[in-house]
Parts: sequence; structure tokens; C-alpha cells
Amino acid sequence: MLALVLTPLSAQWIKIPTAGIPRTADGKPDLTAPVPRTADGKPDMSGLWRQPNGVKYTINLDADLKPGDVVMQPWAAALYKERQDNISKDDPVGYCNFPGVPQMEAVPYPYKIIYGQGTIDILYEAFHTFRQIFMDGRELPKDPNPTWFGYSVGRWDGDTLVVETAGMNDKTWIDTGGHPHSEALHVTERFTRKDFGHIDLQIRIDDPKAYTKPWTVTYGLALMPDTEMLEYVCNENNVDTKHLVGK
Amino acid sequence: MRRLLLLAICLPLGAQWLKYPTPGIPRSAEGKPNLTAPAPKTAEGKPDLSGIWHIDGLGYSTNITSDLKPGDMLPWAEAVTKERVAKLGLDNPVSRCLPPGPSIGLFGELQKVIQTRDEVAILNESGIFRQVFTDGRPLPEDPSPAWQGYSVGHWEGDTLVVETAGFNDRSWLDFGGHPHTEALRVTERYRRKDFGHMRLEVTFDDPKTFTRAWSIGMDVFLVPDTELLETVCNENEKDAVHLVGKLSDEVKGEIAVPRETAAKYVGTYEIKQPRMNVGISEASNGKLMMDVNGKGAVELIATSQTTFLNEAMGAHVDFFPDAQGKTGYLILKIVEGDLRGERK
Repeated sequence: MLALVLTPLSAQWIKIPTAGIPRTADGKPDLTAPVPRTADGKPDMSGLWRQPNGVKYTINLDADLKPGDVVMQPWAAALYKERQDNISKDDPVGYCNFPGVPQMEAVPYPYKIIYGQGTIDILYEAFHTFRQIFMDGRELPKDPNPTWFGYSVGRWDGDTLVVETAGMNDKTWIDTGGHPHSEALHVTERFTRKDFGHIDLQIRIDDPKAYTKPWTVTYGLALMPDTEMLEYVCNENNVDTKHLVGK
Repeated sequence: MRRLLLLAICLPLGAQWLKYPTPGIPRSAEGKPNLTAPAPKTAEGKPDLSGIWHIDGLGYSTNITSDLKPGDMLPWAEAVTKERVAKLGLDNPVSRCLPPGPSIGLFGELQKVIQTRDEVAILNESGIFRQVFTDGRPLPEDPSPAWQGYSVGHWEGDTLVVETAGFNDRSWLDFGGHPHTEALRVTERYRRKDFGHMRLEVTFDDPKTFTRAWSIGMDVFLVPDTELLETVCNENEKDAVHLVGKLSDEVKGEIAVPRETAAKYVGTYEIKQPRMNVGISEASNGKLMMDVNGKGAVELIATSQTTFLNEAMGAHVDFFPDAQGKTGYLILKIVEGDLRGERK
């Protein structure tokens, strides 16, 4: 878990004007300017974003939900209790494994959305890795080889980017608190850019093997203007492992 | 077998979307990609380098300096390389899932180029990405050293010129252990000749390690109708516990192979997947040498009459000549499996 809150000591390009940002007369980014659009008229979500509420949703994705909104199947409830009792000592992220979907968007680190040819891609500062969302109309693979990030396809619902992800392995945790999931997990993320500086992200967790009904969480993302990502190398200095002893 | 090494030629066990038509590729009437169609351009009129690419640099993986002359490398760097070879690459950071550094992508892993107005992003199949900023910013002065450094790019005609500096000095330039310092500057020049082909020239300039700047050139091929797989080094890292050997133990155990036996193995062997030509030649001292795609020849250590160790690769090679010694095949045993090469 602590891997998630490393603080960089120094950096470059931490203060560099981002090209293409609308600015006020005094040069400040105008984060309430209208949503930019691509040549084909779709909202352009390109830019450096972060989830601005610290580790709130990283630790507990259902932090804003009411009791009864998230009902685990008995095995999942028992596993969640065990993870909570052990203070998340077995969190794969503590061992430099990927948080997976949807936790990657909830970590308090910047990530960059870029538009490729037939894809929308997310470059994550955390774990120095990336995720591809295929926009070329392909379907989610049937019976895929399970992976940490699964397989993601996206489509437009009006001005909302809808990303469906499936084919994840069952090693990732939904949050560092330990909400479990099975390989049946299907995540639907809905990205809506409200204005230049803000995205609403709605995440729907559908895993009938782990939860009695789907549950949905919404949080905001904030644009990070005039800066860049740092190089994040979890394996370089992972001092967590020896502290992950539980209870 | 002592080390991971051929990260570059990992053989995936299963996969998805591995045969899915890539959108935007010009095709013949029967749907085959036309890889000699003209290179595409962006809306701004620059060459568009987008696509999944394979850099044909595997031959440099064991010795990226194989085109250099004796004396081009400073004595301290010769000594460090020798020590790393003697320890069979024990301390190679990539064996501990650390980033590859300046040689990222050169040794054959697939990489996807995404080109936007302000940057070229490169997604490497090994799971990490690079950002090359083309928005006109200068390289940072006195940067905090990073495994992949800091990259900016500009266009010289139709060539994308990428300059990278600010590397840390912990990465190795190749599996053979060639070192570099924080003074290293790398210049990559990418020129897309047609839809399916690029030429890449990489210049390494590190006056604290080499007496002169030097370059290697490689062909780069578009790989159509497939996708990157997920590689997670940490998930299944089994190397570290095996990293125990010393070259001196291997040399001590070396078997004498009669020259006439060794001569039967000399030739070129073609491995189909991943595509590589293995050259076996005889050195003046009678020892067998092995190169990949004509680059990076290293001396083999005989561990039996038919089995030899390529230390730099951490791989054994078995020879299967026929009775006449004219034809035959070899098996290259890497961590990911056995690769069969037919004699050409």
C-alpha cells in the first residue's frame, strides 16, 4: 500500500507550460473553458489528469456509498474481512504488482490520456505503465487469457466515453482495503469531461460471483496543467515488503 | 541457464486480439497489408510514425559495441564489462525487473508508437512507456537521473530526431554488461521509408565511457494485424534465485572439443520464430564463436562434445549435425523454451 504514497524528491519539467491550454489574461490556465473537441467532433479528453481526493478511493472505492449498496457473496465477505484484519499485508501492490482496473484511476498519481489511431490510451505515472482502450469497434475477446489490466474497449454515448473492461485475473484487489473480485469482473467506466479542467468518472462494478448486485461509484478527476509525470520505478526502492506483516 | 535475458524473445503462451486487423493500413484487393505503400502523414504534414513496430536489433543484445574497435572504450568500462561477464551477468538490473534504460526496444520487443501534436509516446510490450516531447521544450538542465532519461524530439525533414539525456548510470547497454555513465546522450533518428519500413540510427555519446560517439543502424518493421501482450515482470520473476554462477566455474568445466568436431558445427542457422540468423564460426584459437544476425559474436564454452554455453546470452546451444556434417540443426535453449535453427 505504501508504494502508492511515495513522494518524489526532485524532478524535471515539473513546471512547464502545457501546450494548448486556454489561459486567462494573466496566463493562468482557464480550467472552466469549454471542452475541446477532436476533428471528428468528439470530446477530447487528452491531458494530464489526477484523482484529487488523495487515497480516499484508493483505500476504499465505496467510501461514498451507503451500507447495503455493496453486498459481498459470503466467500468475498470472508476474504475482505481477512484482508482488513491483516491490514492488507498481502496487497499485490505492496509487491510492485499492478493495481489493475479500476484502481489505477483511483490512485493519487497523475495519468495522461492520449488519443491514438483507433485507441485511447492512458499512460500512468504509477508503475510507469499504460493501458490501451480500443475504439475501433472490436468486441471484448471471448474467453480471454486473464491479465492484470484485462481488455478494454470504448465507445461514445453522446459526449461520454464508455469503457468496458473484462478478462482481468483475480489477483488484483479493487482497492487497497481489499475488496475482492473474481475473473467474472466486468468494469464499466464512463468518462464525461465537464469543462476544460474536470472529468466526472463513473465506475460500475459488476461481478456476480463476488457481489450480489452491481455497484456504482462516481468521483471527479482534475486536470493537472503545466507539469509532467515523473519516472516511477516501484522495484527500485520497495521498502514496504518487510513491513507488511499484518495484524 | 542463468538468466532471463531474452526478454526480447519471450514466447507468449496464449493471447487475445493477436489476429485482429489493424485499422488504417492500406491493403491489397485480397486484404493483405500493403507494406510498401507510401508513408502516411499527419494533419500537420509530418510523417506519421504510428503503428506497432519491431526493431531488428536482437543481434546487438549481447554486444551493442560489436562495431567498435579495440580502444574505443575507456579502460574502466572494459574492466566493468569483464567483471560483469565473469559474474555471468549476476547484477543485470533487468533480471530484477528494473527498467532496461537506453537500449529499450532495440532488442526486438514490440513497441507501439502513438503520435500526437505535442508528443510521440512509445508503448513497449515489456509494459513501460516513453514520452518524447515534440512541443519544442529543451532537454532539462541538470535533471534528476532517471532509468529512461528525458526525451525531446524534432523533425529534420522527414526524420524524427529524438534526443535523450539524464540517464542514471545503473542500466546496462546490453546483456553483455557494457556500462555507461550519467553523461550519456542518446540520439535516435527515425525515418519511415514507406508504410511498412523505417530505418533507425542510434548514436551513443558518452565521453566518460567511450573515446568517441558511435552509432548503430537497424531496420524497423511494421507488425500489422496484431496487438501488444501484457508483460508483468514482477508476476513471475524466477531468475533472481538462479543468479548464482561464475564464468570461472564454467570455464573450469570446459570440455576439449576436437577441431574437426567443432568444424562440423560452423555455419548459419535460421530460427523462424523469433526470426534470427545464428552464425557459428571458428576463431583463430579453434574456439567456436556465435553471433546473432551477424552482430555481437561471442566465444562459446564447450560443456560437452555437442553442447556449448553462450555466456553473454545465458543460453546453451546444442548441435545436431548429420553423419556428413554438412547439414543439420541447432537448438538454442533459452529460458522461454527451445528454439530450433535449421542450417542454411
